[in-house]
Amino acid sequence: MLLTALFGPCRLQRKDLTKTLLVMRLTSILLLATCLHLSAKTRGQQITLSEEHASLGKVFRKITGQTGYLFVYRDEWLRQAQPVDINVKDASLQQVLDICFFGQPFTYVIIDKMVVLKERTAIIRQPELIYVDPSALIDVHGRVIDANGNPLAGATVMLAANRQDADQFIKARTAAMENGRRGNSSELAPMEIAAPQAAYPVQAGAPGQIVTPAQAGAPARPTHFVTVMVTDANGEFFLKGAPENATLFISNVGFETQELKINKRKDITVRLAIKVNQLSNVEVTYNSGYQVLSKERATGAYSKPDMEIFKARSGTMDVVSRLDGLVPGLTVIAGPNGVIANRNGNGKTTQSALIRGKSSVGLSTEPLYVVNGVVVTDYADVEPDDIADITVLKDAAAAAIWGARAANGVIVVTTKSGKRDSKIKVNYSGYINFQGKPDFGYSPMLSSRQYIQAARETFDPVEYPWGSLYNDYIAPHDLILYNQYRGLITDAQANASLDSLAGINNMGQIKDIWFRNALTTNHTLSLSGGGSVYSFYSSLSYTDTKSNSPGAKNNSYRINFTQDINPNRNIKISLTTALANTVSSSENPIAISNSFLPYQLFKDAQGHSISMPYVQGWSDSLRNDYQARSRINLDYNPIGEMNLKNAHNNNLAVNITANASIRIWKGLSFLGTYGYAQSPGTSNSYDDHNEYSMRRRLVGMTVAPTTASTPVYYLPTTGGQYIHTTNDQRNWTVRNQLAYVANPRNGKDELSVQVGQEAQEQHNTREQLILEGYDQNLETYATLDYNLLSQGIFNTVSSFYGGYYTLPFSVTDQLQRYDSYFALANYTFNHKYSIDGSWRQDHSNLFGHDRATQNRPIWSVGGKWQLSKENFMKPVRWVNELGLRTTYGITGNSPYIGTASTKDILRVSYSYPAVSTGPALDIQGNANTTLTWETTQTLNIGIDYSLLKNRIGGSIDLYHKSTVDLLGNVALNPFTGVTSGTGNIGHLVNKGIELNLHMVNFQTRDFSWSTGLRFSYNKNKLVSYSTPSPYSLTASGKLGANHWIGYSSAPLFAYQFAGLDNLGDPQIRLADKTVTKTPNAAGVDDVVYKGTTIPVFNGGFTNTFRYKGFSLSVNMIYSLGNVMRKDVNTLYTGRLASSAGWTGNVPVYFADRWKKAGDEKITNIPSYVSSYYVDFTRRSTDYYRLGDINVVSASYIKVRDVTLNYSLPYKVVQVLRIERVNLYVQTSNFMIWRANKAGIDPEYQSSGYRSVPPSKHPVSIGANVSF
Amino acid sequence: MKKHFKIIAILFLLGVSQTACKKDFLEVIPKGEQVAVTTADYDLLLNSYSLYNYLNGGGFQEEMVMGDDVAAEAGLFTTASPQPQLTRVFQWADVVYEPKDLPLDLQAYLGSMYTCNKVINEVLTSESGTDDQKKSLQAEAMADRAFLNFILINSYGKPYLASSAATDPGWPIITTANIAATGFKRNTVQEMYDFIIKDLTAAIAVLPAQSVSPSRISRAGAEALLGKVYVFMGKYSEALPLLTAAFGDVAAATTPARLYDYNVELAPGGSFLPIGFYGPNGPGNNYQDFTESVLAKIFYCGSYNGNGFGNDGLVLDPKTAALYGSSDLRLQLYAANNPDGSSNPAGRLRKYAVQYANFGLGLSELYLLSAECKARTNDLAGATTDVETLRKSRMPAADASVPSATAADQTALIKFIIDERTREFAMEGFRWFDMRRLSVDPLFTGAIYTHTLYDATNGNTVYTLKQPDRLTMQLPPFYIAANPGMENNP
Repeated sequence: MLLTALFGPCRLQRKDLTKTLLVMRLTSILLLATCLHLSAKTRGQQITLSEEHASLGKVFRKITGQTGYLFVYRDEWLRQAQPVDINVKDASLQQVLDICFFGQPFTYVIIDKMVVLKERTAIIRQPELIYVDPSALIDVHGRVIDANGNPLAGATVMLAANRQDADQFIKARTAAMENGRRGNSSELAPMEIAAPQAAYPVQAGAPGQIVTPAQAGAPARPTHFVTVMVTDANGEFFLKGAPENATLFISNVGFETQELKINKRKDITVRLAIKVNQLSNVEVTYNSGYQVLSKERATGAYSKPDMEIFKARSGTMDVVSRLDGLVPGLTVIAGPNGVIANRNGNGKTTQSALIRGKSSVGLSTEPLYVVNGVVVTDYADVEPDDIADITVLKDAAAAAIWGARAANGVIVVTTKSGKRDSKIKVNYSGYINFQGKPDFGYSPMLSSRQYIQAARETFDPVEYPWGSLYNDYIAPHDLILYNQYRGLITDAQANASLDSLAGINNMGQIKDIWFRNALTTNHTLSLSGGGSVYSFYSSLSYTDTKSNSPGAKNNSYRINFTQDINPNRNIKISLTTALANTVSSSENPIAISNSFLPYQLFKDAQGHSISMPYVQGWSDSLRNDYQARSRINLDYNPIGEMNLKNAHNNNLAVNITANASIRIWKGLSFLGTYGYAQSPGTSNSYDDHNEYSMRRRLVGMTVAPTTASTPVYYLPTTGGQYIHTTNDQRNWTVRNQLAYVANPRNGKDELSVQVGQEAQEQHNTREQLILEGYDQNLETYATLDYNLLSQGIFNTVSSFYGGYYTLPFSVTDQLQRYDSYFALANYTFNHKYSIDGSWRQDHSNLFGHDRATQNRPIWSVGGKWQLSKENFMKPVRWVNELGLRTTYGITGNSPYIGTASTKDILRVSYSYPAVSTGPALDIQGNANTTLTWETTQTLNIGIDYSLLKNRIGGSIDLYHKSTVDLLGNVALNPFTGVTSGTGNIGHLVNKGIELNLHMVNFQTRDFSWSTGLRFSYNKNKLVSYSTPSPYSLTASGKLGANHWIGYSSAPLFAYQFAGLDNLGDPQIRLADKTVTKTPNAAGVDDVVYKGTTIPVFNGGFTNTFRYKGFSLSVNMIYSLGNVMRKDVNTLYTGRLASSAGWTGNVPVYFADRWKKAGDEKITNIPSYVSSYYVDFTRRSTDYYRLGDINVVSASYIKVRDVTLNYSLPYKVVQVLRIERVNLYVQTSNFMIWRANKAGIDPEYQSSGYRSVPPSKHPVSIGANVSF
Repeated sequence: MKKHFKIIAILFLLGVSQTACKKDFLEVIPKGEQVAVTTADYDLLLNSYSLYNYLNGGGFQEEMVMGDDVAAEAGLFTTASPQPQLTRVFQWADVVYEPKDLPLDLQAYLGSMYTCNKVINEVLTSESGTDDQKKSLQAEAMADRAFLNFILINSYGKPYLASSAATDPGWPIITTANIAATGFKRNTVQEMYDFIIKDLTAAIAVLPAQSVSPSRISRAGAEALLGKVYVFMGKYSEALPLLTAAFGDVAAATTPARLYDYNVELAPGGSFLPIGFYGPNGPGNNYQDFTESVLAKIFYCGSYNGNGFGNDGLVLDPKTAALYGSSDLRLQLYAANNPDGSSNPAGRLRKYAVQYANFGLGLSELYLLSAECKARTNDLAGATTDVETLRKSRMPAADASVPSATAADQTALIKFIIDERTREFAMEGFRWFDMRRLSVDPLFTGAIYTHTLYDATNGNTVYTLKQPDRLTMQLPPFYIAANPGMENNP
């Protein structure tokens, strides 16, 4: 930014200014000179320069070469410097310097033959211009802060007489800059910046002093003035003797310019609002994990989420869930369908994500997660508050450098680090998220009255004779009906009993006893700061997750400490140390919902808990017999069981990542990434012998042929079962790279090359110890004869054969290693044309795998053309940025350990059932010699644009992904002895379009409205599939297929339902138009395609409104174009309540089923037939269940979250001596549109079943405070 | 300074890349897993319970239901499991399996076949075993393969008839362990029998007399099996010497198989007592009781457990029940009650004490096969002695003798021995194999086989076996579909 500018006839001799400053600064300059870097050479005066995007240092060297002027500066300043675009011919030194220093965070003075760089804290003034009454001059102290109260260092403060002056100045300045850049040096003349002429003698004075005309002895005449300065590191500026009615224009990159009359104020705080069009999509650099690329040079399809929304999503601590709808092309599978457990078995879960459709049918389609340059297996431990940046790599050029595991895309996370040269900053953020209890009304079941009626209607003592139920579950209503049938009670007694059951509703008790309000609390305190060689960011966070389950606890503690060390200009080291500890425990509540018998209470009128042994499935007579013989009580009281079992888990995760960069020679440097992560966890569970399942197990291991015989117990009758599990995941990554950066053709081009080698190991171990008869106080346990017990005990009380197969100690140990070599290069020509390429070769330790088949290099090439930098685009002023890019490349997907091997893999058979002849080996995996890694070729074409003064911006991407050698379960010839195995089975194509758009719709000083839209369209098609299994070529095989040649992944097929017949049996229409109800009548062509279950269109739509301190952000997500099966009646045959446990009720649809001839005209729900055999042979209820009438659109639009944020006014905050305070309230999950009429939330619908969301509308209240 | 960094960096880079590139970095054998290398590995492979213990499904599930020695109780049978295949098997339906079905029996046999072929083809080149050990393991695997093939050809091929065996479609001869193999073709019944005989003959020549356990095939087991194969081919005179040899090898074993004497075991103090909810505590309730086993192959024969068919609702057909003498102690394995203990109103018997049936070769069958061969070859006295040896251990000696009129009449004696087979193995699947082979035996032709579903409410249903087609099961559609052009049985 220009420091001084002149209008009117007044001119200043350069010499004089120089002299003034020389006086001021010489001493300090001399002092500094010893440790400053000098470079010198002498030549002529006129300068001719043509540089694009050149480093300032380089330009300095050229200027020195042409003029002989030396530059004096501190090295670190140059590292902060912006690259320079200049094209001048025979220009003066000052012209050139002004261009070079425009927008730089520092300025310069010329002292003799030296150009001395200096910080922009001093006022550079133009004293001669000011004609004011000295009494009207005041000293002004000011401070510039952002909306959050953070000081803004380097903001430009312009003091001007009025707005016209300011505008004229800026305009002239900009024009000069443009001319300078374009090399039209002649156009520089009108500005005459270079040769000011002194109209008045200048008196030397202290900086900041404004010299009045009287002092200067000049004639008083009206004129204009502009004085420009920049704020210091604390955001402060000081104006000595400013005209009291002058106007301040305060601006900063990325902020709205603020205009302010001084109005005699001596202390001014200026709050700058963030430029609305910068709010979303501040896409400046992309971090691929291997290199940080400027947006201009990136050829690949990268995307970044809006981190503001990401941070505000306090409803979840899961990183993936927070990305929902924020990245085009990234589909987060919301709801229970998308929950995936961590593979090392530590119980942590995260949400599933899909980048650009499913590119695999048999392997995981999860993206690869990278944190600070290192592949992580457990990203559940990353604290969302610590995340600084997320880049999603979608195409081959972006992801190929990650090699054989990158076919599903890569999500690169960078955590926060401290800012250099910033004072220590303390930040607190915290929230409480209220989730409440599940809303069971979402999935309505029969009421007690309806249920009893259904029980009467379905009771069939002939089909299910009392005698056949000796070992079966008999619910209370069934017992009454059988007692009535068997004549044990009268009809009146039976009716009275049933009526009383019909009048009970247990839902209240279920919600009160077995659920509590879920609540999550999070507090994060962070501290950051830095000096010139060292900076740090540290955070401490605590999360208390109170789930719906009574008695459960879950506390997470996280510490993150990131340090950046720059001991000298050649070495840069950053070290991230993160520690996460999760401590959780649980008791023994039952897992119940509204699908349990609706009349069974848990507490009686007196509040006593009720025993309900029938729930466990043994009939009374059987139970009484077992109880009498074993002398073990077999009552079951679920409330009483609460404390009889507990589990405690403690998981620690330590993650250390070091990134080092050492400059070796000119542009050559060594880069190293070293990651080590270890996450040891232990879990202990204790199951007391009094707990029901333990009692029941003991009965099965007790020999007592008659009630008179003394029971012989083969398992301990005291203590309990104690299970101690330790799991550990140890990962390390060592990556060494050589990087070369150069600016060929005199800096017109840019080249960067990297080559490197990487070794990785992921080691997962788990050990489990199970002790019986464990006494928690004495820490003693029983010694068992494992051999005897595993051989089996014959004729125990509840079984003719009781076996105890539990292994006292078991280990799993899984090691995965990769050895990789890679190279990547980028070349940018004339700052307009970029090409890049990458290559990588991975080898892994896949057991028994022929390494030769792994020799499939992964590579990519890409190019980008920055159209907007072409001269012919310059006149198109409404286009600020336009870039075209295209990439092509290959990424891979490697099979899991054990899926591919050249030899049969054997495994020791464990002791069930005991092998009479001792240890044995079993074939665990059959030799499969032909497998190779699945490879995906991706072609991507993209456009980046920014229009109308950056008010509209975004990108468009088109891709074509073709996956060959799909790894999947292939049907083998059953005569081989194996019916299915892993094979390279086919070819899958994904095509799609992604749009990213952000717009500033409306903007004034106090109010703004901006919109962000993410859109992705994915079309997926299975082109070929090698060996469809014979089963898959049947109608039922097709209905259950996850993929089908010619259709998209996860296709949904359905029967063509043709109504019910006069028995209430479902009929279908076959392809030849005939209607049938005969089971298995449908052939493979008789079922019709209804669509895919994966969203075809999805994305997010964000609107943010700001008014003064308030902001309201509404994030919508949409998912369109896919289909799902409706939930339907579940009972067509068998007994109404036939299996033990917390089930027994059925959805309300049962009440509307076909009951009598003629009903087929009013209902489509098939009749109930008590006999399994009749049901199975006479008809197929799948014709209804999987019929096309039960397939509905799964499209929906939801408000994922709404956040109202309020920043306390600075005045208030100042009084509190706090930098800023932000308060927000957020609520989520509002369905605003759905295509189905059945009231289904597609996020909670899976394979035709509804699951009840754990919470209806969670509400968060939170605060962010900075000190 | 600069130079210093350069040197450090280069050394570091070199050092790290050296260590990471070590060749063995990727050569890791995961813990708990291995590939077969040594002879001992192959030995352990043959120890696998999957070769003899079909507790999780498979074995003689289909045979158990198809024998005419069973009947079923409606209510208990049809509701016992929601498996239509069970009902279809009972009805001897043409099509039992749907296109998606993979019968557990067949899967288990072919899975075992893979292991056998692997051992047969690889063990001779294994490391660190002696030639004798390797050959013995190979022979064992060949004998096991013969056992599997014998079951397969008797399920899916027509009963052996010398005149048509060379053209009757049988079962593919599978000699490789290769999951990528395709294009299987059915060999003829004759080829299959020839292959079985070849395997067993080769095995007998090599197998040691002593085996580790009856669950590992011994020379006695292979001899007995070959004897049985010859009986099924109607070659009684060729069978007899093998059975005799088997007796000899059994006797020579360290722990010879012996017959349980029910007179002792069921008497006070006997090992079968006390009689619990599941009956006497005999080998039928203990799958590890190999006392009578020459070759142990166990299948689960109890109630439906989620795998296999189970015997829920199956009762002893009254015609078969009538074959037992009232003092026959084998009746102790039956109870005239329902699974809940309530009595069966019609008094039909449920075989409740055989939760696990041995479908290998027991000493009792050795006696019965020997008796039959002797009777067929007109050694009536020898035959009588053999059958009486068995009977004496199953009932009081006074009732054990073969009636003299029968003992003197070859045909009657053969029929008596066949009936004795039914009595000994009722409801365990053996009867189905006998029904098949006797269908081509002139002595037994014309027999009509029926199944009765007893239903007190709606009336009984009688199903009649459609001969000769349904004496052979159709190959499951899944198997046919995988091999285009493969012909199925009518």
